[in-house]
Amino acid sequence: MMNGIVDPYLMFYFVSFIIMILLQVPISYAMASSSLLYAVINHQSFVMFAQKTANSFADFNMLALPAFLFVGIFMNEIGLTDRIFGMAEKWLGHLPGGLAHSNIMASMIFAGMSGSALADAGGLGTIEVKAMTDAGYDKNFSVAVTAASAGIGPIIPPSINFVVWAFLSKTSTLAMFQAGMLPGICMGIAMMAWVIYATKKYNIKVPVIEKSNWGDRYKSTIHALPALGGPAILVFGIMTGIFTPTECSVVAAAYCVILSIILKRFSIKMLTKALRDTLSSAGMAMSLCATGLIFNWMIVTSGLINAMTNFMLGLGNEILILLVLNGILMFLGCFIGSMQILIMIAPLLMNIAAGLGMSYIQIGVMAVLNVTLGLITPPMAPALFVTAKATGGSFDAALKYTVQFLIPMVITLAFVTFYEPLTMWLPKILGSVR
Amino acid sequence: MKKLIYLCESVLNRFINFLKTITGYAIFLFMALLFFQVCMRFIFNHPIYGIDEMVTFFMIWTMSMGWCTVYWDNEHAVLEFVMKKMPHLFQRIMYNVTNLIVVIISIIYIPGSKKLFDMQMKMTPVGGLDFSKAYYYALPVLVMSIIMLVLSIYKTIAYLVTGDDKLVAPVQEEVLALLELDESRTRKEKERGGDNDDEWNS
Amino acid sequence: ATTEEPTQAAETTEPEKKEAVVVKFGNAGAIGEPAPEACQEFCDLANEAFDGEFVFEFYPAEQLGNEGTMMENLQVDLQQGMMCSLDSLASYSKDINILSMAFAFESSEHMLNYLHSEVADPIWNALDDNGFHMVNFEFQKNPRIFFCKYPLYSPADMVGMKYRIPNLPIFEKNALAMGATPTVVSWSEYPFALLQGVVDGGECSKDSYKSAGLYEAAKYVTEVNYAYPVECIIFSKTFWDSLTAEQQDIVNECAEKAAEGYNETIKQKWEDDKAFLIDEGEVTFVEYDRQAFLDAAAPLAEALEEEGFFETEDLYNKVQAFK
Ligand code: NA
Ligand code: NA
Repeated sequence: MMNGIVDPYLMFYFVSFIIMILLQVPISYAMASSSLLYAVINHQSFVMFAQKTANSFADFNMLALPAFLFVGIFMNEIGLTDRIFGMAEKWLGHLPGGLAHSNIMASMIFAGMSGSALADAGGLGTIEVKAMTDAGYDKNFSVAVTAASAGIGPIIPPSINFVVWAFLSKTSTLAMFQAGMLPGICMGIAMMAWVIYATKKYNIKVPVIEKSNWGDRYKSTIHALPALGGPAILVFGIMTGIFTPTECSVVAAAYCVILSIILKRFSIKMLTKALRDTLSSAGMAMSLCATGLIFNWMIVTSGLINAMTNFMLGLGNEILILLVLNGILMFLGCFIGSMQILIMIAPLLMNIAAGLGMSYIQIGVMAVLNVTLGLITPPMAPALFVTAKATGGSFDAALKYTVQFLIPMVITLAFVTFYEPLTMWLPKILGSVR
Repeated sequence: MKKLIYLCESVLNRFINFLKTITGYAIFLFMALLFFQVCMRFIFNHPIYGIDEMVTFFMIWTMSMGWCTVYWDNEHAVLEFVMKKMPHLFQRIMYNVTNLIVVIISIIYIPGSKKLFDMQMKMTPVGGLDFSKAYYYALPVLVMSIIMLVLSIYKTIAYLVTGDDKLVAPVQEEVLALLELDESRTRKEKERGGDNDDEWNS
Repeated sequence: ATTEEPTQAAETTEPEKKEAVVVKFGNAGAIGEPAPEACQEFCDLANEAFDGEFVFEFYPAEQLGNEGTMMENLQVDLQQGMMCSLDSLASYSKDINILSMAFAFESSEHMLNYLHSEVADPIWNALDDNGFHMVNFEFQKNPRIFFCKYPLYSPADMVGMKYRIPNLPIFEKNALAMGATPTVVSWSEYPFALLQGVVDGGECSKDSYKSAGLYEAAKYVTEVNYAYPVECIIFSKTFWDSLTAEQQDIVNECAEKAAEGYNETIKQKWEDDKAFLIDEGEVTFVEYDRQAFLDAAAPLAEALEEEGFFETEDLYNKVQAFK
């Protein structure tokens, strides 16, 4: 679609939006307000606000969002995460870098159940940092590994950001989930490689624990089985495609509840609390999606997206375009939450993908991975903030080690951006992409 | 005047508290319905027509009400790094500007959702439910905007009277809203708890 | 930039400056499918005919929302026009249900005869009341078929089949009449629902069976032609009434031309598609028992009549006069 007409007040909406979010107006209300200006100036019906809101809540795929949030919250409430780490410790603790590898592996497993990064940093993270410091690790390094490895959460399926992207780009959530699998594993491996390099180079204190025997390994694995069951069901469901992602989310939720009952950790009080927390998190996320849909209407029909697309594609060189795009995303990621960025920028990403002949799935994984970097980039570094807060560590002292983990992450991002099979191979052989 | 404000605060707190619990369980209910549907499909190979639409019904209602509670708790995602460096007076002015924006947006939602309701009432019911989609598309948004309007007007007035930043200031760390750290939540519940009125006296 | 030139040209010839009116025109289909191509054709024709007075901007692929959303947009003039399947307007105009009812018509001509007669007037009146103006409903898609992961020789094979329906009650009734279990799945999720076994099969127009990739997971087609779907162009009534009679004529003409182009290619396209499906798609066209399907659908007319699916009394029998 190359429609020529651009709204003359375009910059006005855009600038008002930027000013509002800088002045701490909630991003959802800033989006609604600049859309309101657009609606008033163009005499558009206010029905749009109600309609887009209801439509975004009604999207059947978005049902997965509250359910995955519930799973993340509930998993931490049941407290099985220590068993995941215990197992990873027995299997990987003896390698150079020791428990740092166990930390990363535990996050990869936890990622198979949780849809967001911060549930990892604040829940599993406390156990990881405690175990590492108890074993004599540098606390700042332990916090850094924990914060960085939490970023694997939104890449390995399930992922709330993938659900949102699929909603925005009208692609298959299932294909998004499948596409995230290999990049997520690559990210974990790249981080492990970085741990080996960094601990040597910077002389970080990483005592290696004694190599466990096979008996201990099996025992720890058996012990972790209940906690592994959830990710196993999800990954199996997602890879075979027998469940839709929405179904996966409720199956996982049911698994958690049943497990807590079997393990005698269930209580009505805990359930109520988890549900109330789910409501708050989901309410916040969905209000962003709702106003994001209104905002998208504004930027699509006003011609803003076309103007920006023409500018970006006018750069000519595909590699340059993708580099600039990644630069913009990374810059935004330093300040704005990942979901908000996706919502704001989705139409632009889709147009650029179409212009470059890239799949919406690949560009979606690229964008999600990119904004995930924002979890550990200053000044906000929310994953580090949460980890430091939850473990009593120092944000500033751990920041130095944390930003170093951008290196393995950016390398993974480069592969996702420029090596199509890393994302598209799996969805293709599993048949969810033609 | 202050007394009246405290009374309103207490009533609204109880209301939101109640809303959170029943809406939370409504989320549980629709997850259970969906799980039941999955079982019907896999085990009995016979999904029940109408459940999916019912789940949509709950989803729209719960998320609309969830939006209200997020606003009440000031948990909306914000960008704070610029305002952190601003003088306190400027921050306080902006809190109120933000609140006025919420009032305005809530007001424009009301006629819009009312009109949508009227439009949808003319449509025939779909998806195996007996009632029009107006009752679960337009209506929850209408109810949401009315609740939000009440809450935002209350906050505007209460702030003028009490000058209490907690009413309008965003929860300090935006990430907490996504994470729900135990510590912060219990702290906040304690601070803003419906039964706990004596904080006003201090 | 290309659309700006005619505007400037118009400015120089006309002394008073007139700003171009933007007409937002939407469609749900993905680029490359027949419907969005016809929409683009229509918009191009209109832009040429209006020479900058109106600028028709085409938004494909649900950019303005899904079909239901776009219809609401039309009602409040958020967008001015759209192309959709006529069936999907049934929520606003009950008599449209008969267009999707299984085996209500025996041919495309039969149905169009009805739509052109005054028996169909309640349809257009109801659409008018809801804020829509019908411009053209003659974009004739290929007829509707059943397809499944296993062969459907007769309705007996459809018992217990998880059958995808859109969120429209008449499709539920068709499914139940055939003995199938209706499951609502949105159009965009249809291929994945088949792949994942959420549904075993369903129905669609022949065109979509290939273009939406439905054949990849469900390879048995029962070419029953149970209904003759058409795409239509509708406009917001507010916008339509703001046009002069001459301007309305221009829009009508452009729509007619676009429909002609559509109809010329669509039949041949199915011939090509079918050859592809058999040769490369490993699709089987089943030898089916037509009478058995007709028998299964026979009680439908009375049941629908009774349940208030039609506004016009005795509609089924009335339309049979147009054979
Ligand atoms: Na995950
Ligand atoms: Na970790």
